Amino acid sequence: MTGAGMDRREFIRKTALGLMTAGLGVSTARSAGAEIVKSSGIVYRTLGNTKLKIPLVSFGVMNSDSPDLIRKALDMGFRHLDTAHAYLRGNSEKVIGQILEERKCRDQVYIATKMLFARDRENKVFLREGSGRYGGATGENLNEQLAESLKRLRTDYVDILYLHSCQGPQMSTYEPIMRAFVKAREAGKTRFIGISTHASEPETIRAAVDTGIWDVILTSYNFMQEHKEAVRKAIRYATEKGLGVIAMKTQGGVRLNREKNIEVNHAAALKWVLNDRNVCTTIPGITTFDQMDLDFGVMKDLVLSDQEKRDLQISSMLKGAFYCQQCRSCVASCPKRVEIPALMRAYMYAEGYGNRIQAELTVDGLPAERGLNACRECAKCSAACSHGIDIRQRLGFLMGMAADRHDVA
Amino acid sequence: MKSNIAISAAVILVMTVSLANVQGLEERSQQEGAGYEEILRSLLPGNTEMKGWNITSGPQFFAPQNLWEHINGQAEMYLDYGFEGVVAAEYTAQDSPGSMMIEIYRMQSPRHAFGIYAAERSPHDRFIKTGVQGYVSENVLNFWKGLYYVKLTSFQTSPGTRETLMKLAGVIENKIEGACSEPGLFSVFPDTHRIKMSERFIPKNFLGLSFLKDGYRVEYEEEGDSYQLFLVKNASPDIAQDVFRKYHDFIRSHNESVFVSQKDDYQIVFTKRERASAVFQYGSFVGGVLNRADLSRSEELIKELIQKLKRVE
Repeated sequence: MTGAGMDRREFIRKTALGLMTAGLGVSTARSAGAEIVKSSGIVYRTLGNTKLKIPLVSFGVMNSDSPDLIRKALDMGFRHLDTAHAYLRGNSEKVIGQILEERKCRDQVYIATKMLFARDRENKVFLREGSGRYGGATGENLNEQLAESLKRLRTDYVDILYLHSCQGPQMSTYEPIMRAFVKAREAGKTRFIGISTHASEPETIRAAVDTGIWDVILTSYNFMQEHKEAVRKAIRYATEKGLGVIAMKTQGGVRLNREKNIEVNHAAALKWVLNDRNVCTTIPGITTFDQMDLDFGVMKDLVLSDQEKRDLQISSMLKGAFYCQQCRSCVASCPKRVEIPALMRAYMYAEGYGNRIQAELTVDGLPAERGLNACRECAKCSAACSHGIDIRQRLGFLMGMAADRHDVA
Repeated sequence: MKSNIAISAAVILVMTVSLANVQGLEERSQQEGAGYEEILRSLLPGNTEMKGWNITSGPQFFAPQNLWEHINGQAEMYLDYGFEGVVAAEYTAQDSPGSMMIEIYRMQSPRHAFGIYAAERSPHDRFIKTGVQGYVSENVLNFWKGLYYVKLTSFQTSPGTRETLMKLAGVIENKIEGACSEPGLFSVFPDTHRIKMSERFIPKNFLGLSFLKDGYRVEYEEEGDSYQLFLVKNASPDIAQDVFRKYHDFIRSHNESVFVSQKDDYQIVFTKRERASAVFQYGSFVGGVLNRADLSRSEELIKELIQKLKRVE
């Protein structure tokens, strides 16, 4: 046991990198059902109780309105096209409709679209009156949006209709909208209904599951999420209750990647998600033919190579919550004024670079009253990081590392 | 052991370079962001300009780093179109239940502002002469001018809503200085069978090909046959040749029937699978006719394009 209140084994189990490593290339979740591998090499999974059989990789038609991309996708064997009422102000739905009509292939393709409503972002609740950029969350508004989407898609039904972007449990259980979605399903305008979420996913998913009305969950899920274990458990909860789960934002999401200038190994990131067998399919946003080949090709072999694991590790580390920014704002929150930034650097050497010698040199180079020894005097660590690093856990790791050294000696 | 050291060194190098890039980007972006905020704020209608209306929410500013918080996944496309900043504010009428959302997006260049505007318009919209161009529906008015793409959304439709939208748009339009017009390259596209308001400018991954950048595309329809003409202007004829070669390789890898023809001052490749296409390279330009029912008139159209290009060069 360390002064930071956690033993090393527990620390490694809980630390970000520990969790990340545990998730890399390891199929940790229970199997949600058998996979079907067709002679074409395309691998299908079943979407919960909907019984829809969908290839592991689907086409997120979000930022593309190129008919040629959709033609090629269908030729390759993509069977699920995911779009939304709001994407490109309807132009994404229109191009899908154009191809459905041109190919006369409506019965061979699963179409999903999403309906967006006004919300109070701070309180994470829907609003009955229009606000911000969207109309009010009412059945009337749903019917209007859906009618327009069906017209654009040139069909009289969709396969999955999502309540778009639920930011919390109150949104995924909002009764007026749930009733309207159920009516749309009963009216045959959609075969199945679901929610999409990319905020507070675990709570949002569990609440949606417990309503008993939704068929499908579309959730952000990726190797860079801080709370990916909680998302993984919520996904398992959903599949155990018979819901189908589809993953999005599998590359970490535009916000993260653009903000931190992170280049993600797309294939590896997709594999990471698909190694969770509770995920039926993924919907990467595809804007080029090269991306399409790369993403669809992932199905050939879901095992992460050593290089792919390393790529994911580097991307995760660059994300920032792993890497100490050395801003020193934490020092003021420590009653002993411990040289925390240096200790975080030592942690980085040990866990990020695998260089324990450098880590030990860094720890040993600190004055006793500003180093790990000072930490041992505190029963509980009160230091806080403004960038979200769990200082207490990392100090625990360093103490465990020091203890190991003494054991060997 | 050696490989571990090499990997560690590589990781350190990548992280050091990336962190430096990130910090540089963030610092630059913060500085630029501060400048944009004042400019964007100045474009919003003030109390005296919109009597009876007050800002009740915002103004909120979003930069490339946090645009996602404002428009979710659509942020990716806006970033591809050179998004630099946006101000969003909700106005509420003092004497009626009306409320309105104003968003003013600042883009990298007028061409990019046109590009994002055109990506969200439809030939079936009701077009108006606000800014360079705009369209209005019962509760939405969007237009572009200069570096800006302006979006107005009303939530209570009443007989006076459209008038209010037009008035607000007029106030913002007058605050955006300078005159500009649609990208000039659209003038070389043939007029016959051209679908009005189908012009697009797409800066990245044009036609789904990462090597095609800053592409111009127009839709056509002739006796039920829908097809597209496109042009990409490259920095030099050498670069255009390289782009053409890559395009040729792409076509060859996806189609069974391909043949190439070398003319006096241009080269052209024809292909037919489900639909027929012809792609040419002339000087710095790569262009073509895509998705026709047959190839019969494709070369004529390309000759017409090239003749017009010669005139504007």
